[in-house]
Formats: sequence, structure tokens, C-alpha cells
Amino acid sequence: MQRVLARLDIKNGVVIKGIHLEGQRRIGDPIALAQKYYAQAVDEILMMDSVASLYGRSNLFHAISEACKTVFVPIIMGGGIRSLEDVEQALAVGADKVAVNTALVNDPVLAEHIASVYGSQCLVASIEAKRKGQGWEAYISNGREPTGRDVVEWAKELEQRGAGEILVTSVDQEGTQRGFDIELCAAVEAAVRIPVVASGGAGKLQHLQQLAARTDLQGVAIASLLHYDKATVAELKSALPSAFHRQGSGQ
Amino acid sequence: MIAIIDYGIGNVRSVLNAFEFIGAQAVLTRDPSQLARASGLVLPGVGAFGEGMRRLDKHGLREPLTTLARAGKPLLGICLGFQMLMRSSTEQGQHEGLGLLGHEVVRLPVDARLPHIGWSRVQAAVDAPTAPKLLAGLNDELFYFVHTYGVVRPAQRIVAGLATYAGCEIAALIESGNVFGTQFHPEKSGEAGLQMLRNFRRLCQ
Repeated sequence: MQRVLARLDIKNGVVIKGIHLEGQRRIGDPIALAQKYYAQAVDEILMMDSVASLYGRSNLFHAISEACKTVFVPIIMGGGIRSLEDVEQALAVGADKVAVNTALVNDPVLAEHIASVYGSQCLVASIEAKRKGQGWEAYISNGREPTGRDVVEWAKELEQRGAGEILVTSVDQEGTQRGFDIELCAAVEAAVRIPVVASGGAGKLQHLQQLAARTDLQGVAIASLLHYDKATVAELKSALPSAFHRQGSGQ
Repeated sequence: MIAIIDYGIGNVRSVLNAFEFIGAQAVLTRDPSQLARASGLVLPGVGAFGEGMRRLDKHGLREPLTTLARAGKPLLGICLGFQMLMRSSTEQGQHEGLGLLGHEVVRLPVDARLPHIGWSRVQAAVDAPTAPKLLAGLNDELFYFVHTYGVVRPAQRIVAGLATYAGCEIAALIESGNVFGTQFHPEKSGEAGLQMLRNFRRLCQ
């Protein structure tokens, strides 16, 4: 079964949309957008602070705290999560899970600590992948810095260290609206036994159908299609063979 | 007033938000005297069973909780809080639970990806002695689950609602007198979950 996640990349309190995780197009207010997608029966909401790794601190705590007052589906907080204290604070303001990339690359043992205290289900291991030769290399800092790690091996290590799911973002496809990197998704899916969520590249409903035809992922994270009003959540779900069809509050 | 037990684990804020959204008076607390004054108790929680029980013990909550529940105060356990109502769990070793319900929590015996994350339909158990109180007004709705362990292939006598993941029957909802528990997260299950919390609130009045 496939979940549809709304992905909100947030910079200085505003949802933005870039290309290859770079760039600055302003989309709107994170709380209003979270409410809009919740009313459409989105399955989860992913809020990513896109500049946290530059400044080492997330600015999302306020937005999450406000969104959680009216949005009653799981909320994932990503960007700038460095320590157990950051996870504690994220959960305290209302997030259900944290998506972590940079801090796990710098200290993979942090995954074990988060899983042992808060449970694996709390930890979404975020991988930013760029094609390199026959495979993919993991990046940090919004696709800016290469880590030297092979994505498939890194996904396996993250699972073994306690991650509850993998969010794999194709930096090559992100924001291009040219479709998912299906080979990447299939390679990560084959490497692990935890749920995998794909992000990056969906520009039309057909792209979801193409992904679903070649993989059996547990979720897709969608930004452009929703932000540019090219599809509703219900339309996204109709493109997936086994989505969770639910009634939204605003329909 | 509904007391949401805050013992330093997981996302208790969301549970408070959901009760406030439906207009209920609710507080986050770990003060036993406040628990005693409350009209109903909610034991939330995510994470590992052993850690959850350790934290309950650290705050001296095991005895007040079981005493109040046995005296008839409505109690709703959610996710890990649901599991901790049970006799025991095999998560990372053998752990004793609160023992308010007699089941054992085990790793889901499925040939599928774990954790089980996503929405599952919850159906009233066909041979439950009475219609599930928490499912009033809710027919075959989807609720949000996230778990690796659970009560599986349960005896349906005290199980009120069932869900299925990868062919495995899971106790989704248990009602036993004044003790209620949901493996799923009503506070994260959209409108259906809010309706369930309204049902619980009504039982507390």
C-alpha cells in the first residue's frame, strides 16, 4: 500500500520549491498548505527545513507546533536534526517522526540512539542521491556536498542501525518534473526490508503510474504537483494502484 | 477533565491537540493526584516497550495507573500505551506490562516490510459481546498504524476491532470494561480518529 506524502521544503518560514533542491520559488505559508493538503486527505506531511544544514539549526519548531493544532495526520520534521535533544524537541512540538540526513552521515551511531530511545518508527533516514557511474552517491546539505557513500550500501547500513523507513530523494530529478529516478527507487527497495518513500521528479500523474508499475514502494513524497495545483491528493491516489482512499475534511 | 499521561516518551502534544480540537478539556500531566481527579486517562506513547515501562516506573506511575483503572476510571492506551496495558511483550527481551489486559505483545509474524506504517481498515470483531463503544458512528474506517509489534490473532472475546496487515490479523482496538486501547493513532487518523476521541470523551462524562 502506498502513502501519499505532501513535501513542504521550507526556508525562513516560507514553503519554497526549487530544482535539484536548489532555488527559491516561493509557494506559500507552511501552516496553510499543511491544512490544505490535510483537508484533501493526504496521508502524511513532510516538513523540511531547507537551510537548517547551513545554519545548523531548524526554524521549523514553530510551524510544526502550529500545524499540529489543526492537522491530524502524521507530520515528519526534517532538516537540522542533530542530536537526541533535537528529536525530543521535535516530538515535543508535535512532530511524529524526524527525517535525518547530514547528522547520520556525520555520526551513523546517532541512528541507533534515536531508535533505542524513540523507536525505529520515529526515524526516517533521508538519503539525497545523485547518479554516479553505474550507481548513486549519497549527498548532504540539499544535494550540495558529496559524502563518498554508495546509496545502496548506505541504505542497508541505515536499516541495520535502526532506521524505520528510508526517504530517498533523487537530486538529479528533484524539481525537474521529469519523473522519478525509477532505477534508484528499485535499487533501494531491493536493498532493505523497511518501508521506502520516493521523492523527486513527479511532474504528472503518469510519473506515479510509471513508478508503481516498476516498484512496490510504501510511499511517494509529492511537492510540485500539489504546490502548483496540478493535482489534488485524490488525483494522486487515483494514479497509484493501492493508495489509501480516505475522505478528507474539506471535500 | 481528561488527563493525558506525560511520562517523557513520544508525541503527547498531538494527543492534547486532538482533544482540544474536539472541545475537550485536557491536560498533560504525570501528577498522580491530578490523575485521580481526572474523568478519564489517556496513556499515549511511541517507541520501545521496555523504555516505556522504565519511564512509567521512573515517574512512579505504574501503581496509580493500575489502581485507578481497576477502580473503574476510563483509560485509553494508544499505540505503545495500548501495548503497555498488556501482560507482557517480547520486544528486545521479555518485559512485563501493566497487566490490565491479558495478551502478549509479539513481533508481527508477517512476510512483509516492518514497521507496518500506514492506514488500515478497522472492523468490529464479529463475535465481540457488544458493539464497540469507540467505533460508534464509524464503519470500516481507515486508521493510521505505525508499529512492528502487536497483539496478533487475538481471542476475540475482548477484542473490539480488528485490522489486517499482510494477511496477519491484528488487535486494533480492545475494550474491556473501562479499559480501552488502540494499536493505531486516533490523533493521527484524520476525521475518523477525531470521532473516536469524541466517543471516548463521552464515555468519560
